[in-house]
Amino acid sequence: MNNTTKYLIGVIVVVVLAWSAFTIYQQQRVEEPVATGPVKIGWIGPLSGAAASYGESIKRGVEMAAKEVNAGTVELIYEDTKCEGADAVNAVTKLISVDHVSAIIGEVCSGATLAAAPIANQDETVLISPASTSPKLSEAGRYIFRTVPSDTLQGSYGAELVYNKGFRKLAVLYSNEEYGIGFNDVLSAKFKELGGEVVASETFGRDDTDVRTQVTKVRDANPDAVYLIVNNPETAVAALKQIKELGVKVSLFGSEGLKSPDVTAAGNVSEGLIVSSVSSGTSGFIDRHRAENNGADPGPFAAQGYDAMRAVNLAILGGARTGKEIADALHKLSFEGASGHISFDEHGDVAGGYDVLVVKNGAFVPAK
Amino acid sequence: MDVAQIIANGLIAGSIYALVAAGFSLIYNTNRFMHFAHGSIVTVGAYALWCGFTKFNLPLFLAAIFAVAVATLAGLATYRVVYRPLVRRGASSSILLIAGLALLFFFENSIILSFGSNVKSINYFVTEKGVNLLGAAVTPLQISIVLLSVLFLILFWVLMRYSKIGITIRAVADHSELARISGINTERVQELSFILGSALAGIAAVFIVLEQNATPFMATKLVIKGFSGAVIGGITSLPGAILGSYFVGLMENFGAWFLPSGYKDAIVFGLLIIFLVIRPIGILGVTKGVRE
Amino acid sequence: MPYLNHLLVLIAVDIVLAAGLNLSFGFTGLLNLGHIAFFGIGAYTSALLTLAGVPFPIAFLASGCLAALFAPLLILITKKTKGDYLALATLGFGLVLHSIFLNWLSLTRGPLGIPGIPRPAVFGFVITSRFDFLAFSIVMAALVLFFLHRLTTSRYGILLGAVRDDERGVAMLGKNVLRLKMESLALAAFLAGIAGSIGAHYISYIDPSGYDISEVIFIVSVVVVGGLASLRGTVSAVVLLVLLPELLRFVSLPSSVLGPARQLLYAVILLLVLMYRPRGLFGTVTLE
Repeated sequence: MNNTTKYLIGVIVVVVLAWSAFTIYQQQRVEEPVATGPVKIGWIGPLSGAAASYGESIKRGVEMAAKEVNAGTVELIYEDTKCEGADAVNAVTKLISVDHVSAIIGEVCSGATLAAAPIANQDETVLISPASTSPKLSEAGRYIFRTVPSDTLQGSYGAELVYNKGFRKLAVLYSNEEYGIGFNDVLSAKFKELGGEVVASETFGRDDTDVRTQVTKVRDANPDAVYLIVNNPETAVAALKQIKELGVKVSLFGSEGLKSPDVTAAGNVSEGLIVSSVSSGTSGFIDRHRAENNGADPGPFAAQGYDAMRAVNLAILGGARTGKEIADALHKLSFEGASGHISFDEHGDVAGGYDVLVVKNGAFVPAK
Repeated sequence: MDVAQIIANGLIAGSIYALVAAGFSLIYNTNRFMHFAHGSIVTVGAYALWCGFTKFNLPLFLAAIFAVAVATLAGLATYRVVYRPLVRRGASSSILLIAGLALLFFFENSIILSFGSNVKSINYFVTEKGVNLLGAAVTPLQISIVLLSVLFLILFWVLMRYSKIGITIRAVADHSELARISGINTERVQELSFILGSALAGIAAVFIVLEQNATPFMATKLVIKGFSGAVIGGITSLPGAILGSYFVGLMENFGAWFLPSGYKDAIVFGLLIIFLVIRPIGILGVTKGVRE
Repeated sequence: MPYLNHLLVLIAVDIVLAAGLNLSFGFTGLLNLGHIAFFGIGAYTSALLTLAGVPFPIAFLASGCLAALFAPLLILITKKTKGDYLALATLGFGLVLHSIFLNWLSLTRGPLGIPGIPRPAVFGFVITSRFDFLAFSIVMAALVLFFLHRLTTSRYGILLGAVRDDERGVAMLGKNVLRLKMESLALAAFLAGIAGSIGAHYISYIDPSGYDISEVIFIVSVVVVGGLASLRGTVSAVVLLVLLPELLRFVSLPSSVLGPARQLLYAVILLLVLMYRPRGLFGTVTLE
C-alpha cells in the first residue's frame, strides 16, 4: 500500500469519526432544553424487509393519533428495524439515549419486541407494542405494554369460531416463527379440548411462496376446515392460490395476518375466506382513516397503532414525563380506542375484542 | 401418499430453479465468481412485467418481452458498472461475491422505494382447481411453465453446443487463458454470458409472476435454490445445473413429505453438503478449468 | 452515553467474531462461510447452561469449546473441497445448523427464542451496568487481538500462511496440513463461540434469526472489506460496518422512505468501498 492510499484512508477514518462525534455532540446539546420543546416519542418497526407493509400500516395509525394533539406537543422519531431483534435493540438504545424519547411505540414482530424489552426495562422507558401477540410478552417487564391482545386469547377464539361453525376435523398451516408457533399451540390445544380433532399441522418458512407439498399433506388428511396462520401477505397469497389449485375444497380460516389488501387483490382465491382478526377499528376510525389516506382502508394493526399513540398522548397530556410516570399513567388509563375499550392489566396487556370478517366479492365484510 | 402430486410439485419448483441455475452457472463458468445478484435480475424482470402489463397496458406477450429485455439490461448493467471495473482493478472472487450481495440489497431497496413493499399480482389467469394429470392436480399454466422452461433450456443448450457464440463461450469457460491467446476477447464473452444468463432470468421472472406474484424480497431465496441446484448438478456443466435444479425441487418436496415441513430448506443444504463431500464437482460436473 | 456504549459493545463482540474468521479465512486460507454457525453454537450453549444454573465462567468456556469441537467435523467433511466449493460447503454447514436452531424446538425453543439470559457473574461480581459490560467486552476483544497478533506473527502463524499460499509445499516439509487447518479452524470456532456467549448475555435474548444468512453476509463482508490476513483491517472494517448503518440513522430522511433509503445508502457505500479498495482496506494477500 502506498502512502497516498494510506493518507486517503486516514482522511476517511478521521472524517467519519469527526462526523459521528459531531452528530452525537449535536444530539446531546439539543436535548438539554427539551423540557419546553415537544415531547419526543420513538417508533420502531419494519419499514424495509418482508414485514414492511405491516410497519407502514401501523405508522399511518400512529400518525393519525399524533395529529390529534396540538402541533408541537409531540414529535415522532421513526426507526426502521426490519423486524429483526438486533436492529430493534440498536434502535431502542438509540432512541432512549440519543433522542431521549419519553416512550416508544413498537416493535411489530414478537421476537424483536422480546429482544428490545430488556433495554426498555433497564432504562425505564415505556415500550408499547401495537402488534406483538406472543404470550411471553405478558411477563416481559413492567415497562412493556401492548394494545393488541395476546395470542392465548386469539388462539382460543379461533378454535371456538371453527368449532361453532360445525367443523370437527381441522388442519393447521402455520408459519415457522414465534407468531405461528404460539398461535398454533393455543389453537390446537383449545380445539382438541372442545372435542375436535386436529388432523394435520404443517409449517412453512415465513417467506416461502411454494407450500404445495404442505398443502398436499393437508389434502391427504381430509380435513373439513383449514386454518392458515401467517404474518406475511406474500406467503398468504401463495398459500391460498395453491390450496385452490390443489383442489382442497374446505372452509378456509385465517389469522389476522391475512387481513391485508394483498389478499383480496389476489383475485378469486380468497373468496369465502373467514378471518379472525384483532379489531380493524370502529367505523368512525375506518372512515377517518379513509379520509386521511386517500380512501385507503386501515391495514393490519393500524387501529392498534392509533390506540398505542392515543394512550401515550393521554399519559403525556396528564403531565407524565418520565418513563415511570408514563407507565403508572398507562395503568390508570381507560378509554374507548379505535380497536375497542383500552385498559391495561397488571401485565400491560389489553383484553381486546376480535372481528370476524369474510371475503365477499373481493372485500372484507363483517361476518354475521 | 400422493407420489404423483409430490413429483408434480417438485417439477414446478424445479423448472423455475433450473432457469435461474442455468444463467447462474453460465455466468460462473466464464467469469469464475458467484454472481449473487442474479436473483435480483429476476426481481427486476418481475417488476418490469408487472409494470408493462398493468401500467402500460401491454398485451401479456409484449409485456413478457419487455420484462426479458429489462432483465437483460439490468444484468448487463451490473456487469458494466460494478463487476467489470472491480475485475479490472484486480478484485478477488470473494470481493466480487460481496459486491454481488451489496447489489442484492441495492436492487431490493430500490424496488421498495419505487414500487412499495406490497405484493404485486397480475391475476392474468383465474386460479382454478388444477386438472387431473396422472393423479396430480396441476393447472394448465403449470404444465405450460414446465414445458416452456424445458423448451427454453433445450434451445439454450443447442445454442451453447452448436453456435459460434456458444463455442466461444465454452472455450473461455474451459480455459480462459488459452482462449485469450487464440484471439478471443474474453471480456466480450463474459459480457455476453451476462446478457444470455440475465435473459434466462427474465424468462424465469415471467413464469414466477404468472404462477405466484412479485415482491421485492424474492431474490435471495431464488438465488440460494438456484445455486444449490447448479452446484449439486455440477456448476461447470449446463445440463448438470439444470438436472440438479430439478433434483433439488423434487428432493425438497419429498423431504417435506417425510420430515416435519420445517426442515424443507435444511434438506436442500444437507444435500448440498453431501454432494460437496462425496462428489464436489456435482452430478455431471467436469474438473476442467475449475479454480483450485 | 448509553447508545455509544451499546455500539462499542457490539463492535467488541464483532471484533472477536471477525478476528476469528480472519484467522481461518485470511491467515489460513479456509474460505469459511459457516463461521456464524459457531457463533450460534456458542450463544445457545452459554444461554442454556447459565439458565440451567451453571456459573457464567464455565458456561463461557464451554461455549467456546463446544464450538471448537465442531471444527474438526467441518474440516473432515470438507476435506476434499477447495476454493469456491469449500465456500459453498461451509455455507451449507451454516445453513443446516441454522435450520437446526430453528426446528429443534425442545432444545432451542426454535423461533420462540430464549429470553431472560442472566447477566454474567464472574467470581461473585455481577456485570450489570452497560459500562461494566463495555469494559468486559473490550478487555476480551483486546486480549483476543493481542493473542492473535502474537500468534500470526509467530513461526506457527507463518506456517499457517504457508498453508494458504502453498499447501503442497507445506506438506512436503513433513507438516501435517490437515492438522494445521483443523487447529486454525478450531481456534476460530472457539473465538466465535465465546463471541456468541458475550453477545447472548449482553442482549439477554437470542433467537435463530441472529445466526442466519444475513449475519454470514455481514461478518464475511467485514473480513473482506477489512482485508484478508490483516487484524488492523478487520478492526477498522468492524468499526466502519457497525457504525455506518447507525450513522445513517442520523441522516434526516423523510419517514416515508426511511427504511429502504437507509439500506440503499448502505449498499452504495459498501460498493464504493469495494471499488476504491478491491483488496479490502488493508488487504495484502489475494486468494486465488
